[in-house]
Amino acid sequence: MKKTQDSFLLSLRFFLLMFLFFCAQTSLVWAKGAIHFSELKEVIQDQKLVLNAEIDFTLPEEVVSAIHHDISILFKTEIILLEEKPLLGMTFERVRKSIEYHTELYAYGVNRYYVLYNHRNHKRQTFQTLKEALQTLGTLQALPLINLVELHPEQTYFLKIRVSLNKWRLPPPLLIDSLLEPYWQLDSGWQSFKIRTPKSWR
Amino acid sequence: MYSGFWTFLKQYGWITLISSVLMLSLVIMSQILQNASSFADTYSSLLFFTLAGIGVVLFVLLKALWMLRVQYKKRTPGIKITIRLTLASTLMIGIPTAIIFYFSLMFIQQGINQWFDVKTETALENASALVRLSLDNSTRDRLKLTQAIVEEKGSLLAMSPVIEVNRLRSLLGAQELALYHSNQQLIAFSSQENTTILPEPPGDNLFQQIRQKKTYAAVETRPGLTSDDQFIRVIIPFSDFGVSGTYALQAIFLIPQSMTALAESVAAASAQYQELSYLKGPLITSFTLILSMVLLLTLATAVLFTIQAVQNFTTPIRTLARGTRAVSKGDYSIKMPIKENDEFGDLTQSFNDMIQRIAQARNEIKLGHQQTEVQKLYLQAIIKNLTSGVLTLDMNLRLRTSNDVANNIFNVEFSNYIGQHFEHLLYRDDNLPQLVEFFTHISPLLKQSEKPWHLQYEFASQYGQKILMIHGSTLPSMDKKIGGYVIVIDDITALVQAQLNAAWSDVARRLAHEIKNPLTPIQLSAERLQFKLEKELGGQSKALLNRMTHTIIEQVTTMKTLVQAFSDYANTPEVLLEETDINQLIIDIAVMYQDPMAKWDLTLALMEDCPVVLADKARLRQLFHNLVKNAIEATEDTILPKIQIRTYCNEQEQFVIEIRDNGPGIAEEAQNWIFEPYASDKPKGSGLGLAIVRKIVEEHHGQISLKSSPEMDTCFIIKIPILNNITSSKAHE
Repeated sequence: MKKTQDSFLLSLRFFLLMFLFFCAQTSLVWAKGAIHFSELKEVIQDQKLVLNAEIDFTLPEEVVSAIHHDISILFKTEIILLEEKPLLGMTFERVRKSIEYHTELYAYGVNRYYVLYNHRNHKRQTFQTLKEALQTLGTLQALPLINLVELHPEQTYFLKIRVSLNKWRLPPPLLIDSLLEPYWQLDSGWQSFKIRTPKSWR
Repeated sequence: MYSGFWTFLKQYGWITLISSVLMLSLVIMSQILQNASSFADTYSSLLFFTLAGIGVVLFVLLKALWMLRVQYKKRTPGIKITIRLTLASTLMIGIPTAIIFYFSLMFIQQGINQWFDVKTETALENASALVRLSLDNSTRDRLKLTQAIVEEKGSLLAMSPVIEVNRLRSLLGAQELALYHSNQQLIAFSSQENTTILPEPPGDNLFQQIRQKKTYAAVETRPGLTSDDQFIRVIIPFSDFGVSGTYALQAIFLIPQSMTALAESVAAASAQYQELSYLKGPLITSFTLILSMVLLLTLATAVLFTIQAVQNFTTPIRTLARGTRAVSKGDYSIKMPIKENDEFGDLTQSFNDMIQRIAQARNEIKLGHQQTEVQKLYLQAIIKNLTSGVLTLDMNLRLRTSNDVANNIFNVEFSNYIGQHFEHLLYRDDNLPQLVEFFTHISPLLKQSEKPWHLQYEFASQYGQKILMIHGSTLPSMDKKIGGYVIVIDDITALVQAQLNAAWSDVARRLAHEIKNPLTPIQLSAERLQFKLEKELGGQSKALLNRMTHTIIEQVTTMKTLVQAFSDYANTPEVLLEETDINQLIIDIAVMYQDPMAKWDLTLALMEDCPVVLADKARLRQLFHNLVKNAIEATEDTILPKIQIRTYCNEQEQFVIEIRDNGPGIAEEAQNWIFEPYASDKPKGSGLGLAIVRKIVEEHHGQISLKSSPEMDTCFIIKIPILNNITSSKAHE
């Protein structure tokens, strides 16, 4: 009986190993993103910490084709402000601010305008070319993050940002393709940088 | 009823529940794929949930199959039929399901492909192009018109913007007209609806365009009350020399609702078509996946149901197999549980009854067997302790039992030949000659007679002649035929000998009594006759008288000697046993016969340290005299007669005396009766010498035997028991 259980567990381990190998391969493919940050900068404006960013979107042909076939694409923007605090020789991180919103990109009308719809502020903007739309999508201008009074001058802060195509919000038939095809794996990955402490804080 | 329901739930409930939930999930997924967008967000969750669920079902299926494999290797009862029925059911379900799967795939592919055809696509593209062309023309016309008016009325507009804006809006037929400075400041505006609500300014990018003095004309959309309104936005930047800076005139031309609706319907249809066209491949993939999952789930569930059902079906078989296995190992106390009141329940009940009866019968047989064993041991004990020899044969004349007495009589260890046909014993290499004659005698009686028979049989054993009384009888069998034979052998040698001795003693006593008495008067009368007539007669008559009376007196004397011998044989005086040094006794007697003038040569070979023997010296003296005399008489015709007396002890702790002579020997057939009275063929003697010798040996609880043949020496061997190994020297002390 014991021998039977061992054989069964051995088989189970083999399948788990195969599954992990498949996951590793998939994650390698996912790592190939076409979204890059060309500029990331925090600015103090009106006693607020604001973010300026320039993001370059290079959409694969298949994704562009999907947009041209009236498929809505949602880009997810995640911004996290982390406070790092050393304690007893260990470093603890605390999320001070988290912003997450979706921006929808789709083609509209017989004239095929490109529309950006921000799900956070419900603003919609129409563009005649995809390039313009992507340029606008990739421009974060003075995005307010947090009031300076909420930050401690002696602490270290990190800002993490990530922009990715949300494949879970694609039309259902595309879900399998989005999981398997590399061109749907558009992800900038987490970009992190330390916030320079303003002199005024000291 | 309730227990059955709970059993059903326990065995099938979980798989039914999982399958139902997964099937519902698959139905929802298929509905979502068919444009049920309200659940679109849950599609991925449902997909992973279903995949995980099917994974669990497959895991359970694999586990069940693995257990079947393990049970097959262990040769669990009922496993073969379980596997066979599972395979059959899987094929019966799987083949039609696979066929349906194949055709469903074909229908899905064909159905989705049929959604799209070239004509529809072209028509929709043309319709879109037509709408686009129409709007483009309209936009271009509005742009040209506005541009022309701005060129003509630009100065006036800069000088009196409020008045001119109103006038120009009426002239252009625009819904709204607004004048902006390039610094995004609204200078004047006019609306068809005479509202005071400020117009929506152009975006930053448009002002950037204005500052670069680029015109703008495009169809835009804004949210309306019921639906989005489409309008043409035209922006014409211009400069005037009278005023500083750049201005921009923005004209909003509302596209008619009817046209917008048509354009939207065309756009919506085209968009939907385009979307579906793009999703054609993924849709087929998704439907194939769902169909595959349905197939997999159906098959896995069916196989699991089948395995469980077959396991339930074969449970009574397994139970019965377990029972039969226990019974085969000798466990008759097992009782199979009856779970169902069906045919299998009846079968199990019958099995239990059968086992109970077998156990009962087995106990009875066991008891009977024990009783038989006891009876057998009892009989064996009786047979063993019988003074008669017993042999039993089966109906095929194979030896079955024997006892020690039979072994002793025939000097054969019969137990070594149990199970062998007695005729085979006669032709064995170790040759049992003593049995050949015996079986030759009894064989016809065994074969011919079913009634008890008796036979007196004289048997020449190595210890002498034996007289056997053989009783034969058949043994009964169950079918009332002959089951075997029993042969009872009584050694009646001693009895017959005793009878003979008694007869001879009686004869001797009578002879002594009837003859001895007249002999003295006869002798006296003869002597008186001689005395009286000797003086009166003379010559020849006197010589005749003397010769006659001498003959009478001599014969009377001989008869007296004979009568004395008979008297000695007949009289059995009480033996006075005492510790005797036999060697010394032999020496005393031998001296009497060791005459240097004698013809014979008597030698002694006596053992040293002669043991003490209980014996009657007088009787033994008579014994030695008789044997020595017998030897002397036997060697009368021998050229160099030699007589030797030898003593020694044998392994049976007997004192052995051998009296050997080199006479002519005794014929083999005479050796059997040589010790009988009047067995001697010698002309002289009473004929009772050796009979008396044997009588004296028997009085001393000894044995006498003869080794002789016509061409060999004659040796009488006497064996007398030794008294506690006391040597003669000790006896003398």
